[in-house]
Amino acid sequence: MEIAFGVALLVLAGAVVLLFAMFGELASRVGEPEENGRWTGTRPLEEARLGAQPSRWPPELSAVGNAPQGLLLVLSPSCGSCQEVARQLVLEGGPSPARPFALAVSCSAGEVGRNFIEEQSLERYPHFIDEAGEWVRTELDVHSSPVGLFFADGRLVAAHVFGDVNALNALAESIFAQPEPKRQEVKA
Amino acid sequence: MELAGSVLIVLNSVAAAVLLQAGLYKMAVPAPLRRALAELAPRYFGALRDRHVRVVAAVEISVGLALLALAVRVPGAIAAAVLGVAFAVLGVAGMLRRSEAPCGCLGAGAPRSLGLLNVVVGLVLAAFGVFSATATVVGGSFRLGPVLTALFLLLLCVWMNRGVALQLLRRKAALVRMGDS
Repeated sequence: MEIAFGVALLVLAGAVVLLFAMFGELASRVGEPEENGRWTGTRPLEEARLGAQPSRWPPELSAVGNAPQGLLLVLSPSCGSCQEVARQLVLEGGPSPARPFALAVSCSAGEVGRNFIEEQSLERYPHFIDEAGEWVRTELDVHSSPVGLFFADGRLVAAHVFGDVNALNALAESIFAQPEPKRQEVKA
Repeated sequence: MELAGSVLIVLNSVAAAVLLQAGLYKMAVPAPLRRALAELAPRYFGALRDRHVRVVAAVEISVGLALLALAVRVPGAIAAAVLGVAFAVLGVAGMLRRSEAPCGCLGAGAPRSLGLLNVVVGLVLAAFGVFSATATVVGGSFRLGPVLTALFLLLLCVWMNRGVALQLLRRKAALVRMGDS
């Protein structure tokens, strides 16, 4: 009886530790909202496979993969922030022309992705419809959106969740200005 | 060396709490350690995945639990000593390489990187493991082990996550103030 009580107490204490761990993780992921309620910050995407070089590049994204510096934005039709980002891309233009840029639309089905591109008027940007997010998931371990992926010679050097294209631009300048080993340390 | 069973139970419970706290945190949030190791030695640890970190977490949890069972306490103590040495080595490596990435070590919610704390905790754990494995226990009962461990685990968890707890309290206080105004 004494042991059963102790084990039950230990399980409860373990659950509290897990709860604190998950709460801490959640708290670190929530950015401070701006006055208009839209998050305009960036934060590193922890699960991304930094240093990875995709084994295959879809033709639509090859310009990003082949360039010394390239930026890939992962958007999804089902995420509200992605629609804000899409509107910003249309109204304010894409990221800096200093480096190739493309979109990867992670979606449940090809048609959903194509509709998203059409509805948001993103046709003018190079884009790849990534069904079920298979390419970004298997090649780079990216499961979130909107995410900016920074490539140097086809290798993923940084990955950040973002809520504002201008913030991402500033981050890109900062990341690509760093020497190779320091790129992953650039904080949002 | 002869040691009173009650003293050993308290020591084992503290060590078990440290290992359980570290293992459970890594199990839930493996990314910080993966990033810290990748920063430390990209060539060797760059390809580490979350599942590898979770294997380490499972080992820590298993060793922590083994310390509470009389039948396997000696192998548990030896394994704890080995883990302690590994913690200390990583801490020294972190200090030498000036590691900056938060490692989430010991379930720390604060952004603490591999360094002195790992060295100290690792050496203490290693010393405890050697002492516990070689000591002859006189009397005492291991029945209180889980209760004591739960108590130490809760205290350690609150201390290591005090920043998160304070953040939560401050937000709540701010919300109350907003509600008043």
